[in-house]
Amino acid sequence: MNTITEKMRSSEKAAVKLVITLGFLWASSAALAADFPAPGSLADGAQTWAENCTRCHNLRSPNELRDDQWISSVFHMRVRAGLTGKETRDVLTFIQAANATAAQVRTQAEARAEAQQDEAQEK
Amino acid sequence: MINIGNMKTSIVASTLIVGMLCGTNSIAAESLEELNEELEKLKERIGQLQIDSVRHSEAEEWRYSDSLVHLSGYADVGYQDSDSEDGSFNVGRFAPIFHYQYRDIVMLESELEIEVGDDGETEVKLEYLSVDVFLNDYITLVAGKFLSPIGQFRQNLHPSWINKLASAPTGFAHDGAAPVADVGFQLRGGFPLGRTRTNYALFVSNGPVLVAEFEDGEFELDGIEAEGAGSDEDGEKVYGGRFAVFPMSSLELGFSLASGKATVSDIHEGDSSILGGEGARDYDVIGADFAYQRNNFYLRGEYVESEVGGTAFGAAASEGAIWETWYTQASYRPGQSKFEYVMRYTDFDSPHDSADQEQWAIGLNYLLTNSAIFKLGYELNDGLTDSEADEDRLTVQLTYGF
Repeated sequence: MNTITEKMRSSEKAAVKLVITLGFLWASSAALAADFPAPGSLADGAQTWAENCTRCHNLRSPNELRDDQWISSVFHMRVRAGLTGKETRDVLTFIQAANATAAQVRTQAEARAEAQQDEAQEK
Repeated sequence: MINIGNMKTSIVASTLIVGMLCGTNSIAAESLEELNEELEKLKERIGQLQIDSVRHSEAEEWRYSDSLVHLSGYADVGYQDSDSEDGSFNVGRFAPIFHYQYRDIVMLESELEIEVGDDGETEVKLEYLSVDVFLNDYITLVAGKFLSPIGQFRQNLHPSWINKLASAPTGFAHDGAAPVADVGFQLRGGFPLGRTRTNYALFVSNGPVLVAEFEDGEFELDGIEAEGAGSDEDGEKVYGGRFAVFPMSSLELGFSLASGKATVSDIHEGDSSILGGEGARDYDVIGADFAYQRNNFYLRGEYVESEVGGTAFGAAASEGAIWETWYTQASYRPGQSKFEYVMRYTDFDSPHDSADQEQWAIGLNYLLTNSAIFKLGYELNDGLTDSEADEDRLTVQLTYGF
């Protein structure tokens, strides 16, 4: 009986964690689905970002701003640095993707830490 | 007849069954309790998820809005010690930048510059305020008060978290050869030229205000206030722009030009009401700049010359004058080190000997983060003996771009 209960408990926990993780992943990637601006090329964006931003200032980590904040920030730089519309969309796509990746890594790390904490409590 | 044997058997069997049932009930009660606990936990989780879901939906309303509001900017505080003055702490400036954007069609952007003066008074300036309309992939219309597109320092490098030294190169601040801001409109953007990248800016503006002074029995030009005059007293516009090309991805070469008319409308430490019938003077600016980067080594330079012609008309009629400045700056950050080394040479020439300055500036920066920087610098200044321009300075600055 205890074994069955433990299995149930462990499955429920796994299911709840899965739901929470998927929720976070969905939330973190939601801005990518925003309908403006149109998506650009991630590879070209990475190149434009690396070649242009450091000409004037230190690189800002994609984690420093949320995806929606990056939109205004990159459009500001479009005006300042004389970027084309395509370069702007490319850079934004790259930064938001990098930001989403970072968010996923954080979420996974948090889920792992939570699981470890639960295990420690059970012991 | 009662069968005693059968009775005994029945009692034993009944006892065994009751005993078994009691035992089973005890196990079932324990499982039920555990299941109840699990159910309560699940209810709590579901309740929390429902709260999260509502919060998430509310956040999504803003995430999917057609309008975006964004606040950024920078601030700096510091310490300065020069040859003739005791060292002082100072609040350099707080410069919030507001962005309000409607989709990818239009953006309003504005920077305030809030400073605390020597006497403790707070000064607020509007560094720029423009409405930017993204006409297509290659052209943006910028209307309002905008940073001068002449050269690179004013439009791209002046924020303290970007400028690698605590001070602006002489002649590039609110004091000299390089225009600071304009009021009018500009078309700017970038376009590919074959496989080469380019960017450009073309503008028309009110132009600067000229300041005269009365010295040695005659009027002469004191300075150019090219900080974005809110009105055009002589009705003469200034036209100009900058074109930059990237012969290779690590090198940008820029050329700037502006031309128009400007008129004296202020007298330094004098009565401006005596002015009348002032002649519109020729106003011409030329500039060139470059920026090169290789790994963590950066080399950049900029030259600007502003020339104002003479006039024989008006109360402050006088000869023309030229303001000229240039600098070159090298900086290096070894690998992923937090330290950055900077060196800059500047040479500023104006019609006033007391303002002319040749400067070597060296700096050591420590990057707390990529946009929070602690700067230690020393300026070796060479100007007219006993003038402020001749005083060496120690500068310490803590700046944060947000």
